[in-house]
Amino acid sequence: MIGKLVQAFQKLKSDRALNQRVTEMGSELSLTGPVEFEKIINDDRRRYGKIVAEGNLATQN
Amino acid sequence: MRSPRTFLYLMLMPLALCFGAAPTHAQDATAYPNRPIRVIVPVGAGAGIDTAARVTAAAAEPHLGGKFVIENKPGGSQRLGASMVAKSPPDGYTLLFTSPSPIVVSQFFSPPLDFDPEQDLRPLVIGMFQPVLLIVRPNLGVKTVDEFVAYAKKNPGKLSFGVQGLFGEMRMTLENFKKTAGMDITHVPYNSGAQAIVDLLSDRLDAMFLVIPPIKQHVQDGKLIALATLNATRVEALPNISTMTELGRPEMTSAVWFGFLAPTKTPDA
Repeated sequence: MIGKLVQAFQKLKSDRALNQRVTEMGSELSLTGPVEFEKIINDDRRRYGKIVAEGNLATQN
Repeated sequence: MRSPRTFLYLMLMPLALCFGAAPTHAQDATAYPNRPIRVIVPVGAGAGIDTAARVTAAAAEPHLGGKFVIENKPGGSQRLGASMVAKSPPDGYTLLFTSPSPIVVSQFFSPPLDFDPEQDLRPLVIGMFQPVLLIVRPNLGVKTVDEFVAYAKKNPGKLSFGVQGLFGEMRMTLENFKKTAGMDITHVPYNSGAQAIVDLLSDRLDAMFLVIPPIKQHVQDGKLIALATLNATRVEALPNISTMTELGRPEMTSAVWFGFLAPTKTPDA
């Protein structure tokens, strides 16, 4: 199931009309797959965790 | 005269046809998807994530050979929708399309999440990256990032900076900006980006980090000023806007992703 879903989304990379529409909106079509996506999530989690800890933000809210 | 085996066959055949014979069942199980797939979007209809979900899902339908149904489940700084998907059956028929907030930020704040974003959800694909702009109202009188920082330092605590969602990635980006530039800025939480844009346009809010789609026209018309993009490179839709790196602030580089996730135990095949 996951494989089929990922494959279907990644086929959009070659969809020129979609790419153009998204770019004109001011966004960027990505379609980054599960491995790279997981890495980005982990990097974001570390980065934001550091900002929260250093700013002592968790206790301020 | 019919044999007992033939008799049994004739008796059971109609029953098999009524309830579906074994070969048909086997075919259904492999024919994924055989019903619409719900895509839970944890914000209201019309928001940037919602539009991105609808555009991406609709374009992928022919490649999947199935239908996606977008369901908006706003609430709790996107926690509600993410929690729903995390607790859904891992059958491939419920997905989440979200910004980073409920996956990488919410867990650091109270109240505690009622799901574990690391354990209960698995990433599929990032649909889109959303370049972020530093936006100010024109009457603030600043035209560059350096002028903005100088203004903030000269007027500690006086600049009002909108943040969408108290526990969101934009709040994190603001905190990073405040720390790295040494500014004291007041953050103003908004539930809706649309309301914040109205306040920027009517001089009730000074500044905000915003993604491009809802403000592109306002920037082009000069009703809002974009001081910089936080994107690693210039954005094709607004190519005259410098990146933070070009302006000497590479530590401010970031982009917001909108991506699909599924309950962790959803099978690969």
